Amino acid sequence: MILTMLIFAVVLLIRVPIAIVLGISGIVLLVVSGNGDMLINSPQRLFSSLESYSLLAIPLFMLAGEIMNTGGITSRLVTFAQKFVGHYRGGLAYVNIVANTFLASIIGSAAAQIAMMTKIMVPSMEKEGYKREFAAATTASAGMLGPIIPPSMLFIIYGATSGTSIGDMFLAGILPGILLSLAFVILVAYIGYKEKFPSKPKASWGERGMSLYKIIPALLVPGILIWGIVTGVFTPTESAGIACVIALIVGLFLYKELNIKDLPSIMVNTAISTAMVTLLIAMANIFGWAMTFERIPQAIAEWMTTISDNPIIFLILVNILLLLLGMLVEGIALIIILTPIFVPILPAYDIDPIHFGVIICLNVVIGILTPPVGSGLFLATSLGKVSIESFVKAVWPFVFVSIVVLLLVTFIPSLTLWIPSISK
Amino acid sequence: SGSSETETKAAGEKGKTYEFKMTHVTQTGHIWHKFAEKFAEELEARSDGRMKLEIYPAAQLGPEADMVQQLSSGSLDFALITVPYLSSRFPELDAWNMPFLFEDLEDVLAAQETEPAQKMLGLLDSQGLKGMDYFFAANHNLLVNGDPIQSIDDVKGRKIRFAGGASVIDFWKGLGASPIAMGLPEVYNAMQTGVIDGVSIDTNPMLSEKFYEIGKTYVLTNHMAFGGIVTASKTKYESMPEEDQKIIDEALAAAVEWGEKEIVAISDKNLKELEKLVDVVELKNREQFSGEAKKIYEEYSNKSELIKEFISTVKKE
Amino acid sequence: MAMRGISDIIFKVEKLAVIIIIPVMLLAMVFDIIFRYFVQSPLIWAQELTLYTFVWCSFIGASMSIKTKEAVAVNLLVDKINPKLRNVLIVAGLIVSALFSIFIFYLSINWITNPNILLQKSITTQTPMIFMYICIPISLLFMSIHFLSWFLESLRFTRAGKVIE
Ligand code: NA
Ligand code: NA
Repeated sequence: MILTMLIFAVVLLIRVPIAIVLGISGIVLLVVSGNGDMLINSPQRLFSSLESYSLLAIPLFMLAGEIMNTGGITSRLVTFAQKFVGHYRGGLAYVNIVANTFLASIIGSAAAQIAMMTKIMVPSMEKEGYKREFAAATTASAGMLGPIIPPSMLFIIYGATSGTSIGDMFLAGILPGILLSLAFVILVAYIGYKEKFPSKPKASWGERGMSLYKIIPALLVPGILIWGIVTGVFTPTESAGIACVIALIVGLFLYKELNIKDLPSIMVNTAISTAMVTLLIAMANIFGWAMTFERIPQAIAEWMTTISDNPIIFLILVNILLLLLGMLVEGIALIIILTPIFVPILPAYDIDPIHFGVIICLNVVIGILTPPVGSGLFLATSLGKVSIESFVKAVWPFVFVSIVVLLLVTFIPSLTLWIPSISK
Repeated sequence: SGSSETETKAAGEKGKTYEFKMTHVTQTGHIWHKFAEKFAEELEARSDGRMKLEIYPAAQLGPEADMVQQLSSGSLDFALITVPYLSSRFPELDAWNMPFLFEDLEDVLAAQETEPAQKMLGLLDSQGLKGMDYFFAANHNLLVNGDPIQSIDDVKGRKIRFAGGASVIDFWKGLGASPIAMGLPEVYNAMQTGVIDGVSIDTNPMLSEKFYEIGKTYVLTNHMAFGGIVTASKTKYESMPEEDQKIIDEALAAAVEWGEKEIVAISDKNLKELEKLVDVVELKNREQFSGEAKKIYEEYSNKSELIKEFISTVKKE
Repeated sequence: MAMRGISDIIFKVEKLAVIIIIPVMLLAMVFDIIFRYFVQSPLIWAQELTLYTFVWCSFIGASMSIKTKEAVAVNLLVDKINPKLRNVLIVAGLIVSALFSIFIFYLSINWITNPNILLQKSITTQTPMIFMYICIPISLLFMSIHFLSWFLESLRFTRAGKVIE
């Protein structure tokens, strides 16, 4: 394991693409642990890690984003928002967080939400004079709300793995989600005050009316998405496909800024930006598989439970462990591996499994932003076209306030348990 | 390290020690996991501690296609693999997915012992696997929202999730339903948002995956047997000395015997629990469905001699 | 130079592939929704087609991201050291990457030529899985060539005393 970590660090630093670094580390771990005969299975693992309907939203939202940017939809959406809140310092950053909060009540996965919003928000914020890395960090952090505010893929998996009511989990996520969203707003206000964020002169009501008129066709995209998902006509994944079609129609026929000749390069861009993320997911899967086979996460968790019988110390240890493991192992896999180990010992510490579930899931969503491995990190940097280093610098204040929220949720059980209790 | 075998001659003891690895798709609350734990216990006891079994639940080592590959290359020792998945690799196994073939779980357990069923286990040999034994879970019923299903007309236009199997898709499509094959983790969300309005599911995941939270009526259709095959790595198994193979066979037989009693016992218990949580109703016009099912039996009997033999054997009993 | 030429040709093929694959993915999904809701007659094949075009597109795109040098990497160290050492480390990283992709390509050839592969079919449409699996060796072959070409180019740069970007 130490040799693996060493090789991981060395190849990472000599500018080997991170996906390849993960693949190499997985293979080294298999070989040094005497499981070299398992190498033959790695191509199959690569394939089946992407053979999942829940990942389909990624290319489709990337495509929708490309079409909306080329077709003039994004720019109109942003102009519209500016005319109304642009005169507040950091107006567009608030728009970003508020839009993500609403989106989170429709979408259940952070990856889908980050893919969709990065494509739209980062170019627009940059045009307004924000730093690219700040725009990407704000979008990716606000995307964490996706699996905390219900519906949530993570809560479903935790509920099923732990035997907790998924409905209760959904209710328990509401207050922590709102708290997280408020924390981001306060953070943005602080950074905005400190760094003198751009603000524009107040727009006249005439300008506002004009931008409202121009925005109507563009609003078809979010409008039809919300209608379709709420009425159950299509799944969130399918909504991404529908978004592409509407964006195409609006771009080609209503705004006429999109040309058939633009389409091939849109496809090529979509394929590359999708692959930059999915190759990472596939290679991280090889690494995670090697770790699971060696029972490394399990061994750490089992060792932890022997340290203390104080629930506070136990929860602090759990948070530290999850934040550390979350740097290396991706979301759902972490829940699947750790839940069966921790949940049986919760009664001994008198911890409610619903409360514990929200703690685990908050840790997991923080983990998608922390380097070196994290789907949110990869999505935001590749789609937002910022380097990992500058992104990490910009995102750490957001990670910090998320940890503060995590601690509040950890030590004030009623934040999670109150809503489920009154709904009974 | 992975399933290493080391000679231990200490204390005059002869024979190898084994660290087997086994995986399956269900959560730890499911009867399949308890069965795997029982198998581990039996192996250890019957080998005087020489055989240890590590269990990886919830498809931790990859989905079923990967399990099969890891078995045939010998990096995995055992897996409990669902029959609907295996029938995509061995079309003859689709015999088990035939709609409305079994009245209840006891029928299914009896069918396992028949000659054609045993022949099917033998088929797994051709892909580097060893079909050790069947281990079923329960019969599938339909959990639906909206009107409960009572006759074949109620099925038309309904979007229902199935576990797979060519004959299953053909049958329900033939009745005018819209069968969808999606992964189990996606079902909860899809059902809650109305993307699907029904799911074919047995009583175990109804409870372990909390599907009672998202469905209104559980119609006891008993339309399909749902189970798995305990599959071993052929190369691994055959490389072992005969006395060790015998220990494994006996340990498995004991675990299966224990598990089958357990399944029968919990299926009543599960149902009683579900009655408190959702509307549980009988299927009124079952003969209507059985009538339609005959067309599928005929179609698939023409495709495979073994399926034909299986259906007629089951019908006779 | 030969390697560069092959890599360029492969990139053209990859572009053409994704220009075909992505519309197919989108159309399959849209037709699925239309047929389910408006025609009430389900398209059994559409879901699988969407899924496997996605997998194909992902792996071909992965190889393309190497050609366009867009794959995410960490510049932290190489940006801070002197140009000579920087070149050496980057060239070393590229040969490691090339060897890794060649190795996985070799493993995937062993995997795909196993006769059992031909017996595997997809769950809903019973399509032979080989049509989907084959994207792994193909994309890894392409990726290996892109890496080798990139490696040779960087090596020439280093010899000429230029700084690799
Ligand atoms: Na959500
Ligand atoms: Na991380």
